[in-house]
Amino acid sequence: MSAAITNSPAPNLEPKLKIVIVGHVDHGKSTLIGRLFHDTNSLPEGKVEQIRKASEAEGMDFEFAFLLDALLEEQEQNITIDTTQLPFRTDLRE
Amino acid sequence: MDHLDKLESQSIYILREAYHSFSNLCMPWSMGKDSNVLIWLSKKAFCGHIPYPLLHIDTTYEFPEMLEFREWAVEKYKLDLIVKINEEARAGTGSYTTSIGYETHDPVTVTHELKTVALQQIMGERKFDALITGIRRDEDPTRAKERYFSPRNAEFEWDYKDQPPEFWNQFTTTLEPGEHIRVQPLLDWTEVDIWRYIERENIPIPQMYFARKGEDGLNYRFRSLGCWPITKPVQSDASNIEQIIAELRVTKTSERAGRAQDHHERNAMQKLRAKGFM
Repeated sequence: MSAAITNSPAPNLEPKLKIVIVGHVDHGKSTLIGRLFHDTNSLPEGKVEQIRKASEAEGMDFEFAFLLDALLEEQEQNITIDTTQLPFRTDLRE
Repeated sequence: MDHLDKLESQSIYILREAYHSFSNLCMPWSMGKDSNVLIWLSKKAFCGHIPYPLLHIDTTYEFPEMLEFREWAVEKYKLDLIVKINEEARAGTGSYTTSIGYETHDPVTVTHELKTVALQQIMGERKFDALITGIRRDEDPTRAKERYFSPRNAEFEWDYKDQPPEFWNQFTTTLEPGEHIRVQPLLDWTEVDIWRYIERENIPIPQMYFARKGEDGLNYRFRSLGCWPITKPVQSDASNIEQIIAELRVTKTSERAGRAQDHHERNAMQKLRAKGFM
């Protein structure tokens, strides 16, 4: 790997930063989180394409919430059935 | 307490809770990196002696190097190891009308028959009431919805629509006949955490995780290990753990991208896992 990577500062592992997103049902909590992962370039290769395909299969344009709502039943009904935990990191904090 | 200490102590707590709660535990072991971390944590949790048998579900499509590692580790750790093969499926006898294999069947079918059904067979023989698995939430979106103590019914099904909340570490430990619990001490660990811990503790792992020259002259390593016909390495120059961690901090490829069964169809992992795959 390049020197720039190995020389970048080690990320802080503790303490974690806790963020809570509160909102009314169907007002876009999951969508917002999916959007944050997307806009911070935190999604792995192929994930956007996978979400696009799932959205198309459900007759939608592009559903950011499908990042978290990965179960078929969740995508078909466009709801969150159960919680999902995904790791999120920045250059300075993991 | 640093980050790894917290993860380690939480996992050890889960292992001890499981040992206290169940009378017939078993720990599936794939010889992969997460599996070897589980062995290490089990030894720490129980003063050096692992008080439950290990189980290798041998699909007969194992990399020879992994089998060598298996032999080495059994000796090194003095493991009580059960090796289970779904012989009827491979031979096409018993309830099978045809031999199941990657040469003739799709990866989801083979994974289900040679892993999940093999697991069901040995569970039927040995009546284990809990299985300790090494799955992590960051591997896959359905694993991201898992619990530390995750119930499976007698048909092995995962009721992902009605999971226990596990508030204040209140775990599910009561079972109906035939049911079992998946105990999952590594849920909170990330791939990088696993590598940092392997480095810190100097845990033995198969050498296939480190870069080696391929036939085309480029270097490759395995990020995740499974059956050889459906597991592909990634191009990488990382030949030690420090380099692997540096690589993981910038890569955009997902850990299980090289595992064909995950990507065979939409929600392939959900379908596999709902029927009992780990």
